[in-house]
Amino acid sequence: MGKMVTNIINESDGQELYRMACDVKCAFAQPETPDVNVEWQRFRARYIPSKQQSRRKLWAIAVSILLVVGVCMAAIIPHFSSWQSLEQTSASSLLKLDKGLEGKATIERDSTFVFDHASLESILQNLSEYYQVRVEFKREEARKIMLHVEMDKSWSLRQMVQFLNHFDKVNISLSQANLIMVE
Amino acid sequence: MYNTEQFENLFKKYYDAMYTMAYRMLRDEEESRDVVYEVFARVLEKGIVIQEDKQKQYLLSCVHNRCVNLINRKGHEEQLRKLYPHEQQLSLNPIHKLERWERIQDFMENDMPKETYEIIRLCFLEELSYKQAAEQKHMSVGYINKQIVYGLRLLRDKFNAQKKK
Repeated sequence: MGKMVTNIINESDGQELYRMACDVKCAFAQPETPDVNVEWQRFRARYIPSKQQSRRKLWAIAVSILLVVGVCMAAIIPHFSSWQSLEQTSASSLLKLDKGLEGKATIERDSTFVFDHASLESILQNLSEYYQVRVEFKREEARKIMLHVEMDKSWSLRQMVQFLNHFDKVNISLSQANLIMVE
Repeated sequence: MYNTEQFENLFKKYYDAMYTMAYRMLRDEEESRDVVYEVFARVLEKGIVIQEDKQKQYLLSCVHNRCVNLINRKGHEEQLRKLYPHEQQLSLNPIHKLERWERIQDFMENDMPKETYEIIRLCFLEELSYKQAAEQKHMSVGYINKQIVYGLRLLRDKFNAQKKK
């Protein structure tokens, strides 16, 4: 073919004949008649999103939005509730913080300190924060004493100390205004 | 902008002509289909509404121009070898061009000397080389060449003269 083209172009009226050759080539190239309906279906599938598809897309979007909202809520709500309890009783949130350290201090009712198998140290820590007092241990081993106690928050500091002193190993004194001594 | 039903009608009405146009230029089913799809997709995407009496011309022009662009992207060698109509009569109305090809086809089949037609068919449609065609027809390469040039001149005289009228 290439040789023929060169031959033709070399002739005087080559350009014109070359164009004619192109036309002849095009004239020969007759496609089979396409099935318009099939082509339309194919075109539509490729370029026009069907209603079902767009509905499916909408669903997918809705579901993903719900999912994101759900995850956000799951992340926010625990914080939210802890803020609430912090507002109600500052002590409760402190106890919750303590829970991380001790694993045993919990609150069941807002009006009650509940220490489940907590060390004396952590119990007094919470009390000191609740009543704004300092704590001193004279006997270091006393820190490790494990107790289960429930105390009403309406109690005074003195009542708390008296209550804790019921335990055999615990010997606490309220020496001065802002100091709890553990002997 | 067309609604889906109007667009479907437009598509079905002109697909055949557009596809034929593309196929005659590209001689590849996949490429031709893609070209036609892209033209329609653009109409849809841009929200183009074509003047009622210009629809065929507009759509065929789009196909034609896309094909020319495609051909221009192919190497010069391939263009020559495959005889792509890349530079011819760009000003010619694509509807006339399509008809012209049909008339040429018709003329070759009915009015051209059978031997010339057969040789041209072998070389242009079946893409045999001169040598292969010569071997198949038990003729010399020179004779094949002569016949083809004769046939092309015949066509040129008929169709290019007709155009000038």
